[in-house]
Amino acid sequence: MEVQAPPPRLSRGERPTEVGPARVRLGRWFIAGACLAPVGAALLAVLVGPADLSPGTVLSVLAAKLPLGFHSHASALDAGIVWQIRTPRIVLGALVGATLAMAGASYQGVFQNPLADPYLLGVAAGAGLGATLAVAAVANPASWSIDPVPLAAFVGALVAVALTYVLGRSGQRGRTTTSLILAGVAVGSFFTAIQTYTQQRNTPTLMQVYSWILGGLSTADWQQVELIAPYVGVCGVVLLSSRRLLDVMAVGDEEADSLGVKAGQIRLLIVIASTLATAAVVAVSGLVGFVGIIVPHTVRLVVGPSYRRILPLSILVGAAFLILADLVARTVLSPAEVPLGVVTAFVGAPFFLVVLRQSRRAP
Amino acid sequence: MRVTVTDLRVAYDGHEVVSGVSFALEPGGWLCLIGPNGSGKTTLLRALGGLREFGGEVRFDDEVIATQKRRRLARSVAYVPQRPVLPATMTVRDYVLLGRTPYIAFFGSESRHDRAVATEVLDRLDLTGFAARGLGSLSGGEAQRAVLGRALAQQAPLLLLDEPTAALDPGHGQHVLELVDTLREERQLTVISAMHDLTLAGQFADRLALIAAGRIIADGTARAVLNEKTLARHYGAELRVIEDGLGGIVVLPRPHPRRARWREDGR
Repeated sequence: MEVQAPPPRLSRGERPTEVGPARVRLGRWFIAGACLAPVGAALLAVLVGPADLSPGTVLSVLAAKLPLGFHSHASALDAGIVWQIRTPRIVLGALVGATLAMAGASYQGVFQNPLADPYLLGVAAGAGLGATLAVAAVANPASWSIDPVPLAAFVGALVAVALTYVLGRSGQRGRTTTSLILAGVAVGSFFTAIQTYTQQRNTPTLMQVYSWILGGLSTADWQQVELIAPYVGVCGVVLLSSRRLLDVMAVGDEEADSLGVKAGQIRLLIVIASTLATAAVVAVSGLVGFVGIIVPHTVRLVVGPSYRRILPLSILVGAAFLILADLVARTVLSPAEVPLGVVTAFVGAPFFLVVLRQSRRAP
Repeated sequence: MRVTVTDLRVAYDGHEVVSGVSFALEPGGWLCLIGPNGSGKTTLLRALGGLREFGGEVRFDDEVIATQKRRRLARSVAYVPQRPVLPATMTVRDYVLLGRTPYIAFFGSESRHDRAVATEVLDRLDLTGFAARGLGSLSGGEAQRAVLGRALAQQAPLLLLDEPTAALDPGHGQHVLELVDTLREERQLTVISAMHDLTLAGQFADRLALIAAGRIIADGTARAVLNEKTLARHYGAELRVIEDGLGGIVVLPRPHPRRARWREDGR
């Protein structure tokens, strides 16, 4: 019996929309705001902190770092707080936020799955296991020339994703995307099981591992910025350059192929770039959740589905969001700190709901 | 563009689903592949679009396509699948612009010329008023025009259409085929389509090729291919082929004897 062909199908999770004038106006304001947001957030974050420094002192320290011949009269202690503690933390926060948002958007595009986040293929579990093993095995990390925990987290993340990719590729032919996601779930569960077991066998280090998993930037310094900047920079250029190809991938692998794009190769390239950048930032920040999902979705709700706009705007909004989240994390219970992952989820979820409601009102 | 296919073979998991297919199609011609479900029409179209590995030889003009790179091939052939994926929130303009992909550098973005081509295509297909709308808000006929628009933006001389009217009502189906026919004349397109509606296939295509079990059984004009005996053998159904009085051929299912009796009884 002949089966009647159904009408052209819609991509999963999407609803029919029409781009109305109000949405276009909202989009323009959003783009302008997103461009200014990281600068505004960074300025606010550098001015506010547990140490009671005047805005003049802070700005004079920053101005002295510019090649303008300006000399600051701030004390060495104040200058140290501004330049060695607050500024690297802000820069690191911006890099972490931008990377997680960028990688989340890329994963959502390449897997055509709105729930994809940078941890989809096992980065989180791999990094978690690496960090746990390092904390448990290295008795005196100070004796190492570089901190073994970020290094082990980075290696663990890459091993997990490589394993996911090998397993996913060996799955059903023609269903690589689903196989990869399932392999990610399996590898993630396996690595988490080993991590939990290791943690149980080393209860004295439980607190240290737990605090790493919840994420934070309390140990931020310029060395960490220098460590991750090359990864974030190179991968950022690759992903930004691929933003048009992500739009092409939205029509599925076969149609992308018929348009001259080898979908499998593009997917591999984007997964490698996203994973490398994510592994690098996770190594220094721990597992900061939610950014990779809520930032790209917030941007998408306002400016539409094209990755040509989503990707660059996610980078800007992600950077600003994490700078502000870290500002909250280090000031709200000062001098104690709230884990960064807690703040991003606590602030991000309601904010996302507000954006969701607003976007439905805009015609 | 002249299409020459010689001894084309396609296999899935070692099982040959298209075997020994050969034909030649002149520039500006329209060949329609007909045949029962599972006969290999879609597989043949996908092979011609370079989307399936195949044995034998396919030449576009004098060039063998197996040696062409993916991007270059996409400039020669535009493929419209039976069930295109239409991202609901993507605007019609962005969707049509995807057709320019074979002309855009790997990491590049659209040039002014690419945008001008898309605008011209939108205008030609009466889609300008829909350009800013999401694909999910279009009716079946409008969506099919958007899909054709993306294919036209590829500016490929060969157009492959897999069941272009399957999801459309008779009016919209006819409109889409008339549009393809007009564009074929305007742009000197060569068209190869797969269709189940034998009447429409006979009306629009210059030639029909009946495919069964992966082989071409009959190839020629509608009048030569559409005969009751051949169709009954390969479709496994009783079909009537009648003249429409206007020079065309209509293919209808032959009523079951019981239904014919009811009609006589006036029931």
